[in-house]
Amino acid sequence: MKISLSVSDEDYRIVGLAVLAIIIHIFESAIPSPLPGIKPGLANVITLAVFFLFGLRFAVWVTVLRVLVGSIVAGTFLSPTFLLSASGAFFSILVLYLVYQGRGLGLSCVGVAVLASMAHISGQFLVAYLVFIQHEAIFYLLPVLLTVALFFGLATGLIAKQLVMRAEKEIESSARP
Amino acid sequence: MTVGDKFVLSGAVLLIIWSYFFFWAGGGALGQQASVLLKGVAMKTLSLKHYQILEIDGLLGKSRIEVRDGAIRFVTSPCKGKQCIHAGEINKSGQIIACLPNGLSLVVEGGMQYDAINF
Repeated sequence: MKISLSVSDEDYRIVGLAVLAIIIHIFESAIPSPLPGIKPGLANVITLAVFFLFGLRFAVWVTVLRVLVGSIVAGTFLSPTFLLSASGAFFSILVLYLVYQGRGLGLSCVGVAVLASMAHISGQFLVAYLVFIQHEAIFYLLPVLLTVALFFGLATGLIAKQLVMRAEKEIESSARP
Repeated sequence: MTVGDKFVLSGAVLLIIWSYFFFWAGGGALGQQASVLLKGVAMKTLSLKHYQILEIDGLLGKSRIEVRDGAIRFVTSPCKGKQCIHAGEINKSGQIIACLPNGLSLVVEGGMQYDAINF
């Protein structure tokens, strides 16, 4: 008996984009952070751009692959770091889903990025509180984390916007005979 | 930037400002009691209303703890760094002093802000 897996062009595209996100993810985890738990999350530039260029399904695939493979490469698979990474990803995908259902809600990359980054950190915080540190004192950290999330979300959104604009131009010019 | 973006941004800024006021305001209510924990397990609960001084056995030896004017602190400790003594006194609900070498920590509890701590 022969088992064959057919790989579509779409699969190749998803993998290529996921690899981009994973590379950024890995490079970023090598950058020291002034506060534990604070990370720019630039890999999400790819997720966002993919969401705007190819839609929700692609964005979900890229994120799931990034979290899984990224953690295996970084050696954090199934560790607390992985759980936090996955919960953050889950909550930001939830935002992407809601935006998708709301037909964009009149948001550009920037708005979606800020919304997703705030959801990302809130979700992570909730999981951190419920699973790891069940002490009210960690709520002192929340305002700081939200502030940082706003700035990194903005940065991610602005970069993704540039990326989407350039990619669209590229696609347009390659479509022209 | 679209109208929706501006809406999201101002919402986020408002949420952040609110969170500073909500989570940082006053640093919590004054606590009514304190627990002494050895390796994270509660050994004793003390009322902060009455002056008292007591010695508790830790991993290295005896630490002296003082309760005065609704606050609690380490007075002496057999540990090397004396971080626990330098931490001074605590009186607000949720505040902690931990002496890791000696395995003892003090946690202030009670007060208006939190009526339960679940573990």
